[in-house]
Amino acid sequence: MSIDSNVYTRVLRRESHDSRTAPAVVVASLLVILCGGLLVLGIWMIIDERVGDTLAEFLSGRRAAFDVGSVALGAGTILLVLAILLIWLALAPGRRDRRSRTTERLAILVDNGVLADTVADRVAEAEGLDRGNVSVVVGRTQASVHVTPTSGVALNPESVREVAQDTLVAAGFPSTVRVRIAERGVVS
Amino acid sequence: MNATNRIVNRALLLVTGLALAMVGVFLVLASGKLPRWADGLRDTVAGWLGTLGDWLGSFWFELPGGVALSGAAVLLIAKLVILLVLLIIFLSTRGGGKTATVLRIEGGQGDTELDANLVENLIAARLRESTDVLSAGTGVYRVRRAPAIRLSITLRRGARVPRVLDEVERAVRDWDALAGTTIPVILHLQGRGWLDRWRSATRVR
Repeated sequence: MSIDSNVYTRVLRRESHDSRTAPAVVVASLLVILCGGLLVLGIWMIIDERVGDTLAEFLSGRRAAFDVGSVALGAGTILLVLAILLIWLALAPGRRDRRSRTTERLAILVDNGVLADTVADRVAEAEGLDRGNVSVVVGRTQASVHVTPTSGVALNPESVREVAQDTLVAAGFPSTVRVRIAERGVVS
Repeated sequence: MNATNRIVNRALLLVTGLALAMVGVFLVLASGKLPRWADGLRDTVAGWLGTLGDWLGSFWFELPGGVALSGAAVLLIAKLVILLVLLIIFLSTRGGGKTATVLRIEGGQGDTELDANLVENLIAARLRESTDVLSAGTGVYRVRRAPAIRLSITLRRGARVPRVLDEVERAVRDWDALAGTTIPVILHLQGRGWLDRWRSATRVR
């Protein structure tokens, strides 16, 4: 029995984007508290009219010791910033740092950090470098390798690129590799 | 891999964002701290709000206790209640989609169900034995009305990815042979958390 490829398509698409559940749940919880509070206040105002009068007096700002205009301006600005943040969360694609592919049997999701770690390990191993002197960043389509050579030992960027590329191909995620070699080496 | 409807997440964020933006703009306009050019805008918005307020105040509801309620109050309370119910429905429908049954075979003599723990013991526990693997875990979710297995693996430092992929493939094929059918498997190679930084690169056995 073969696998329904739509399952893999769906899962990989969903897993490579942020679900936005966490911010949505936070916002919803705050709204629940706000709505509940307003509801209690509203019903209280119906039962006891003095509450409404007190509230109106407070909101009018006549009694306030602070400058109502400035507070309104500040609060308005904060709300606008929050609004921009929420709208950005709603509309931005929210891609995660992951790559995916399918084989005959599996769907594979790999965090870019894992690929970067492997590439750095292999480069350090192949070039006889300390692991701490190789740093790799893997992006969506390309990877960049930054190597600090051992002082006095020549390092060929082409061979570094080859090792990195081979590692990525072996993992099944080929990408263009940029190599940067630090001008000044370090002692071990 | 859960069944959360993500469009609804984003819709909630968008609507709340727009509402906050409106309230923010009102507050800024009402602060009276803006330069003169904003006066026209403020008057227009105040006009709209006034019209809306007049309309809402134009009808009254009589309550049995002799209390009269304006249309604004009744509408507001009704809206709050509806919003509250919708929000609670929203909160209670996040997540989900996890299932405890990985396979169900219906036969003439009765049904057979394979529990999700079996996957954990047969695939994840086997992979945990590998020297490349720091931790492995499985979860079974319903995707497109059929179970699918999610296999999350955290690799040890210096692990070889192709070797791990081979091992997983073999473990999954063996599982297939046992289950007698192919269930979709999603393998996730996770990055190490900040705590794992201090773990050793090799495993001694």
